[in-house]
Amino acid sequence: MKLSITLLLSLLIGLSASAQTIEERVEELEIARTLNIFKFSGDLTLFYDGIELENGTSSEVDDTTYSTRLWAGINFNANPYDDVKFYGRLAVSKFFNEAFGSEERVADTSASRSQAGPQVYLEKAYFDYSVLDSLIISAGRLPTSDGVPTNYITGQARMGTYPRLAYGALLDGVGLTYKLGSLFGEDLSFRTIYTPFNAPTFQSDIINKETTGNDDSHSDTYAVHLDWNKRDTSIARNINVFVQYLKVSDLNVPDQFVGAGNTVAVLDSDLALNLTYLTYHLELEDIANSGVNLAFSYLQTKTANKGTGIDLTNIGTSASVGFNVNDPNGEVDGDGFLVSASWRVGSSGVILGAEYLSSDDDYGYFDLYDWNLTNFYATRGTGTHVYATYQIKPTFTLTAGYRSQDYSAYTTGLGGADTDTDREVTTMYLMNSLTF
Amino acid sequence: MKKGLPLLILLFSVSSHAGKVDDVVTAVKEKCSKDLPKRVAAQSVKKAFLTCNPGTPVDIDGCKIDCLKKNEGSVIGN
Repeated sequence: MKLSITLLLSLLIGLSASAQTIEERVEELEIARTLNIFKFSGDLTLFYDGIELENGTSSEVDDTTYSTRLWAGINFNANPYDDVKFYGRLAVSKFFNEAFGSEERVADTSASRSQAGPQVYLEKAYFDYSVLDSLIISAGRLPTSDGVPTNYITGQARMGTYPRLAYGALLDGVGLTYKLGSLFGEDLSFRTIYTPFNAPTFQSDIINKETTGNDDSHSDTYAVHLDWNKRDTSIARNINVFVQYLKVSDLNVPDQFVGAGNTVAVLDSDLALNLTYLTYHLELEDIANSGVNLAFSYLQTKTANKGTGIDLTNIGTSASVGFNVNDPNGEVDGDGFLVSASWRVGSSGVILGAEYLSSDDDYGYFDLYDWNLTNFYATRGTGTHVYATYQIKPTFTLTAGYRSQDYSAYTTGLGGADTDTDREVTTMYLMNSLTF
Repeated sequence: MKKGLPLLILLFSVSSHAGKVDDVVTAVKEKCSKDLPKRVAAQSVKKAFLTCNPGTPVDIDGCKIDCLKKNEGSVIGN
């Protein structure tokens, strides 16, 4: 009896499930699709680097090193409302099986790009809120990295808001985009982006970083830029003109701790940095349907010191120094330009590319997130990069490349004025990248 | 019944990608003035929306259309 009832129930349930019409089942599918607001994608990149250093002076040691690395990331986007979109990314970068190494450079502005071991870091998490069709507010951890021409190497589309030669860090903040397209032609956007730096310390007796009593905990940083894209022209599939002014105001340099014999000496800091970066960028994508991309970037940098400097008294020197200069109130102006070209060779799946960087001795760019290990885009002097990429699949690539950096000057940062050098760094690398 | 099963599966497959199938058909029509059968378009959805790079051409049944995958989350307010 019990068996019969079970069979009957099963039959009824089965009948009711199969009794759904095609329309009902399609409707269910559509509802399921509507409720699923998430989209996922990701990437995995493997690197092999062979790096050779030649210092060019007898007092410094030449060296060669090899490394294998892994970068990976998961992107997750969501559309909770028609006018609110969320974009996130968790990422990791590490050397293979690191043992006894000392190359971890974890900092908030580069954590996911620092070869920091298997930890996963937040690389992107921001929303776009369309107040109007032409006015969009963005806030969170923003896509300020991997700007053009980073994407040329693997044949991808634009990957970052700022061009590569603008500001080399992952930044949190708030942005306002005003699309001027209807007034000035095609796809002209004005953006202002506020990305303040913080150095928080909240203890019972002190609420800022320094012991000097100065309120050094916050630095206003902002960028304003114009981003103009003209698409589907006879000259190129897209022409991008980009001009940006970025200002870092009163960025506190914290107290320094240096070894002095068996003790650690504290060097009191009353030093703040004012940094400005002015970028002009022109890009021509797919010139005359030839598969050739061309990008020019020119960057002016200024480093201005403010305050009484870093006090060296505790290490036996009665002086104070600044950043990149010995003078605590010193200023240095520099500039550099980057030319980048890539050629997608027909439908062969091959991409050939080259980059050339030239900068003066006071060039003040820094490079916290790039794929390369040797701060290529921060080179003071000249840098050359050539590569060949084969697209095994459209988003599964193998790249072989060569970078050469010929330094004309370097600085040690604090207290470090320019020092002339013949230093050369060369890198041979292989890179295997999958995006999905 | 056996003959009807593949048709039913195809119908569900097309329905679940309905908007995207139409997008592929429209893109091919605009680019090459060609009427792409919905069945072929349904089979090309993955190629046109997933395994291509935004801004690059994709070959759909002999017609090169632009990759239909959006470049999202790269530029704020875009």
